[in-house]
Amino acid sequence: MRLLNPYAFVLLPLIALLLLAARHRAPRPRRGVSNLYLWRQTKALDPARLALSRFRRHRLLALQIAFIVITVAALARPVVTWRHATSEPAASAATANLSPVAAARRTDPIRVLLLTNGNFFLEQSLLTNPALSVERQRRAGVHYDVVVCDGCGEARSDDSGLLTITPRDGTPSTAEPLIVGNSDHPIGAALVALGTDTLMALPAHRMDTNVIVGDVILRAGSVPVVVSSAGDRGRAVSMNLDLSSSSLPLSTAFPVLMANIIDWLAAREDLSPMMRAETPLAAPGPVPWSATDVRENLSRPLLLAALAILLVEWRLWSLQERSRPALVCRAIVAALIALGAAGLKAPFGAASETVIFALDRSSSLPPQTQADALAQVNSMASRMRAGDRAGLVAFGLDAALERPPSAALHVNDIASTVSPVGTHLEAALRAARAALPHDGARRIVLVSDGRATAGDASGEITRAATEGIRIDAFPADAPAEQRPLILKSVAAPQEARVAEPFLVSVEVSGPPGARAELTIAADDGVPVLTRDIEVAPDGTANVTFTDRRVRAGVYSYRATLDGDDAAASGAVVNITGTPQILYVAASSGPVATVLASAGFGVRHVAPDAMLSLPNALAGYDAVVLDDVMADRLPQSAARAIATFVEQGGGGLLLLGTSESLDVAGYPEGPLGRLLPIDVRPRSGQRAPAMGLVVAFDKSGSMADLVSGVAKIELARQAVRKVLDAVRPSDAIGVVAFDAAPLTVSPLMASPDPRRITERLRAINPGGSTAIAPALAEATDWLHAANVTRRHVLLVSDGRTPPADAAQLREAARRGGFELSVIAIGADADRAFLEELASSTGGRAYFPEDVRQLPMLAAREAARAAGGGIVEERFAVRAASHPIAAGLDRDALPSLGGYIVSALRPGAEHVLFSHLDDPILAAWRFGLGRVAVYTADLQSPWSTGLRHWPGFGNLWLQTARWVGRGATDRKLHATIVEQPEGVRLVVEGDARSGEALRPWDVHAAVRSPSGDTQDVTLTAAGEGRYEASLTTPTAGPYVASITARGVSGSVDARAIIGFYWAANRERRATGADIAALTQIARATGGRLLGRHDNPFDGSRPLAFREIWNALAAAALVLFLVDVALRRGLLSRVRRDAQPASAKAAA
Amino acid sequence: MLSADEARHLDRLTLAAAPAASAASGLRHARVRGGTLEFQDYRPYQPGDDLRSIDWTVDARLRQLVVRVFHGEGRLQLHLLVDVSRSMTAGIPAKLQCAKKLAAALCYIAVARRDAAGVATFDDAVRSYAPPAAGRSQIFKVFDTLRSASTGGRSALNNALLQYGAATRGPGLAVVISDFFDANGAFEGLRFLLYRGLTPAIIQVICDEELDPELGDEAELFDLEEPGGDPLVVDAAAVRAYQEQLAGVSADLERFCRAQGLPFARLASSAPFHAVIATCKKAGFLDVHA
Repeated sequence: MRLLNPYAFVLLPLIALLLLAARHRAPRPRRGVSNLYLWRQTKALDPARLALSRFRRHRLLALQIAFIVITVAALARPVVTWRHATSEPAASAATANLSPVAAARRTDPIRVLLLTNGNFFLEQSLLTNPALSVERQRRAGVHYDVVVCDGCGEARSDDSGLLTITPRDGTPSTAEPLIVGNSDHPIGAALVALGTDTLMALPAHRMDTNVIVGDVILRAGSVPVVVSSAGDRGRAVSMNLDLSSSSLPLSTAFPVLMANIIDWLAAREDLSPMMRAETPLAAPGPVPWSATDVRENLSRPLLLAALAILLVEWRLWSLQERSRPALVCRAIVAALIALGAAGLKAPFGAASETVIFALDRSSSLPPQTQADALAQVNSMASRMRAGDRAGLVAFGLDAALERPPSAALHVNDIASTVSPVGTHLEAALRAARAALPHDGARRIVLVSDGRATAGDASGEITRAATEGIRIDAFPADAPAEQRPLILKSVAAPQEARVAEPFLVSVEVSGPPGARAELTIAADDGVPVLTRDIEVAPDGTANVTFTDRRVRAGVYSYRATLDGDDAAASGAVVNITGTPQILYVAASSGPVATVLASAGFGVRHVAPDAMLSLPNALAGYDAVVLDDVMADRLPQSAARAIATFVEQGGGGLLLLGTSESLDVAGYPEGPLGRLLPIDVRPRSGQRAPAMGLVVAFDKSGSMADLVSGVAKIELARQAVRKVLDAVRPSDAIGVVAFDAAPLTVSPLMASPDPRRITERLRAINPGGSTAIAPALAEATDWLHAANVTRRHVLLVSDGRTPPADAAQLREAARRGGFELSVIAIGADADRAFLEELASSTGGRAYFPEDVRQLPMLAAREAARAAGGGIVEERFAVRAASHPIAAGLDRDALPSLGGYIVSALRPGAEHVLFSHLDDPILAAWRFGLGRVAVYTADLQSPWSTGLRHWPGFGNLWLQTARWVGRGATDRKLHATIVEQPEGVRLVVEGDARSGEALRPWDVHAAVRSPSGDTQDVTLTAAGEGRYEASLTTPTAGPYVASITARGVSGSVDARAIIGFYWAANRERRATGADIAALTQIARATGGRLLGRHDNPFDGSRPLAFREIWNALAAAALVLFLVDVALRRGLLSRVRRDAQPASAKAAA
Repeated sequence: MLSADEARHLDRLTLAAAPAASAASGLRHARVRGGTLEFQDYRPYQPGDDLRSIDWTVDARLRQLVVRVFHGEGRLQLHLLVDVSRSMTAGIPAKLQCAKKLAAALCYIAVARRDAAGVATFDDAVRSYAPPAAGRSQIFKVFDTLRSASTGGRSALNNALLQYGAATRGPGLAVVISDFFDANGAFEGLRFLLYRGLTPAIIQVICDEELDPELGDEAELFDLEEPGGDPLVVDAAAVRAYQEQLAGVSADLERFCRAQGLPFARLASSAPFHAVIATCKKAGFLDVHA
């Protein structure tokens, strides 16, 4: 605070004047009374009271002096500067050497890993501690100072502190008062101070005091509840507290306890000064804070204080002295001070000007040009007048305030880091506008090439114009020979028809005469064109080539110069054509006929013959799998289909049968996640609880290898598959047999699969074969269990002795269960087993390939579970789905059965059964769409559908909906580039009235890396929908847009591709004078030349704060006021009056 | 000194003092039987009685000699004693002004009822004196005396009253108008007036400032009558004690009057005229004329 300035000298005469005024009537007010003798009889003032009253008399004077001092101090504009400390530790070697103690202070937060199932108080006590940085998930490669493990089982603690909170073990215990066990311990010490005796705690379990290793810090009664131990591997604290039922967490001691524990565990208690042996006591040096100066002008607070003093002083005057002139005087003084403190401004003089230079740092300006631009800024800033201020904003793809407005601006080096890969004029203008003060002439000087690659500066320009901010522009331009060689654009039509030639043109810009090798590559990276180019004298070079594609699909082209991948650019073309369907079926089905007759290009292929190259399906719009068993389709082909749908935007129509849609089929394979339905068994009320006993052979012959796998292993897999296939409500038992039965798992509902697997692993083949005892045991189980259907699945590989066979027959006859047999091995007694199975209503299987055993078993189990299919006649119902649009809902056919399944979340019914199970279900998956039919189209179940007049339409619409299809003319999609990605804008065709209704618009965007991101577009206007897409990597993006009317009236889709070039600065070179001129014109600015001065030009009147003048006036008036009340002036007047009266006489 | 309105207001009033026996004729029934024509009573004849006063009709009827007694007649001697010491100049309006006005009013009433009225102003001694006399011209004498009374002396009530009492004698009504602010009191003087046959009526005039003084934090009080004397420093807290003292002095005075059967009135100098008159009526020495 600088007080010793000229104002201090004003202070002295003022105070002298005041003292003079005060001295005038410094004695007590005298008053004549007629009955002084009465007054004398009252208690006279004692010396103490006299002294007090004397003080009171001087108090007035003191207040007056204080008022003058404060007002003069305010006039002196004291500036208080204090250091604002930030928690950033400035670890400089010098301070570390000088002051070891200070260097030992660690101010970085303690990293805490919190593993808990959710404990409010625990979380709160950690999260609210500012010294901690708490994480919930362990991240690889991160070292945690403390791991808090709240009932998390085993916790890995490498070398960090570990706080274990033991869960309650159920031992009944009672809450007991907390006692600090070790008050010498750093954790315990604070608790002693806080006092814990009123707190009750409930130990989680009773610890044995003898086995405890470490310090007992807290005890609840006699049970240790907080125990600390320090070992070689780090420190550990174990908290034997049931936090959920103790009062400890509710108390204030708990956060303290937790904070202390964490500090101790992180070994931070040495933050407090500790002395150690042999360590000389070092005086703590300056703490290495990094500090910033905060300057605060104290004038206004001082004025307010003066105002307060003024009022208090007025209050202390006696009534007689508060004469009218004094009152008026005092009111004026108070008003002046109040107005001054309120910051009254008056216009006088030309305003100062503040100029913010916005300096383009994007890479479109070569380094030399950037240096020139900075020099230009410095030269312009040097021309500022006194009182003007200049600041600097550096911008690229983002903007940063390099220098706030100050009285001098000279920048040698830009310190801000801004992303140079873009020119965000909007951000630059916003930052500059924000940095400008609110008064005076305000100006932004834009030093840029004016080529904005991101953002829309028009809003900012309008705002600047409204606020009276003038934007001048200085075009920063590199000479032609310094401009870099860039790929200006790669242009290709957005859409082309199949076999239609289209042009791909590449424009290169650079210094004339520069040479480069231009490479254009298609999707797969194979160069389609390589050419040496030379830039023409006008600075550009164009390369054009024609391409045509014979298959529909989305193709991308990528152009590079001299193999510079970072600066690659590209284009995406969407090729449309006749819809092509790949019909995968053993034989042609009715759907193929329908599609072919409707003009679809249908290509038949047998499942085995399906190509599995990733691109083999690229030319098709959809794949139809008609009655293809999952095991018939090669895995690679299934994966190709999945990729085709998810990333290629293709369609998949699965015409399911009871064989292809069962548990063991598609749901297991790569196509499983594509299906809109879930055919895995569900728990439901429809099928009664079933008891299933799997009896499998473990005789010696099961050890034989079949294609390298032991048969017993296949049997084990079969059992596991069966376990997966049955519903949880069904009971399942497993028995292995050789000569005698061996119980693997007794009949029970939802057994533990892991346990059974372990038991199975322990079974080794050996012994002879006797089926009957095993069957008898199974029968016993089934009859004892409370199940309504009983089933036995027998897996055997050999023959059985005649006696055994007779017993078997007998058992089957007594029955009460259904027996299914899967016989592996060529020498099985087919006739006997078939007879045996059929006598109980079951089936017998004799697979030729033993490897099919697990699947057969699962299928049989699923069949036995009975929930797999519904076989009864019912009328199909249609949902409001685009596929079902236009179908005659009243005349829907009736079907004979279907495979039971459930819709997955997000999937929709097209046709559904009387039990609300899907018959035809569809959904979008990735870029593509999938539909599944569950009623076996070629079986008698679907006879009604096949003979239904709408049959053809249904499948045509399904194929169209599913298929990739041509871009719908109802939708018009455009891509608008933005700073951090692009904005996808979809507009409905306004001519159709449907555009007016709300649509549900989604887009699946495939990024170059193959990920698909699902985006919901939001309505941005009538029939206009928008969404921002993030483009993390450079390359081609494909957006597949689906628009659905809410009422199902519209279902349109469009595909749009775009190429995101990472460095969009490399699009154009040279300054865009027109754009800069436009910006300048819009705000009344001008285009600056090299020698123009942004600081000249008209300036408005400056509104300056006049509080100093007001305060000075108040000071003078105050003295007059005091003089008035002291009677000085009135005496003068009285003296003057007789004189004038005499003169008049 | 009195406006027409005030005079009219006074026309209906009379001094309710005991009738003073006097040789002079007047409007008042004297306590002594006198030579008026108004019959008062009979009394038995005693030797020496005027034979003309024997009622012979009674003697004829009852054979008893009775004498007729007639009402005597006389005038009241009104002595107005007005304190003109400097202490009476305190207050707004000054106590003295109130005192003078009251004196003038009483004088007017007395003259209107054909009583004799005289005035004396005093501070520590009697300063001017107009002896009581009847007749309208007395009003002007009294008024002149009041008007020309110079103020500025110190109070010494006892001294002044003793001096006045020594110079006059009763019977008569001596109305003492003063603030009675004298450290020595006034009882001695008042008793002397009684002894001289005068009936003192006490009118204490106090100004508002004395009743409710407004003092600053630390006021230096000096005696109005002795400006060079020792000042007294008091603060606002002393006011209450002072008020108690004042009330005590006033009560002493009233008690004295009550004990002697003297009329007593306390007036505030700021009280309006009709209130002053009403107070006097209430005190009992003014009455509405029958």
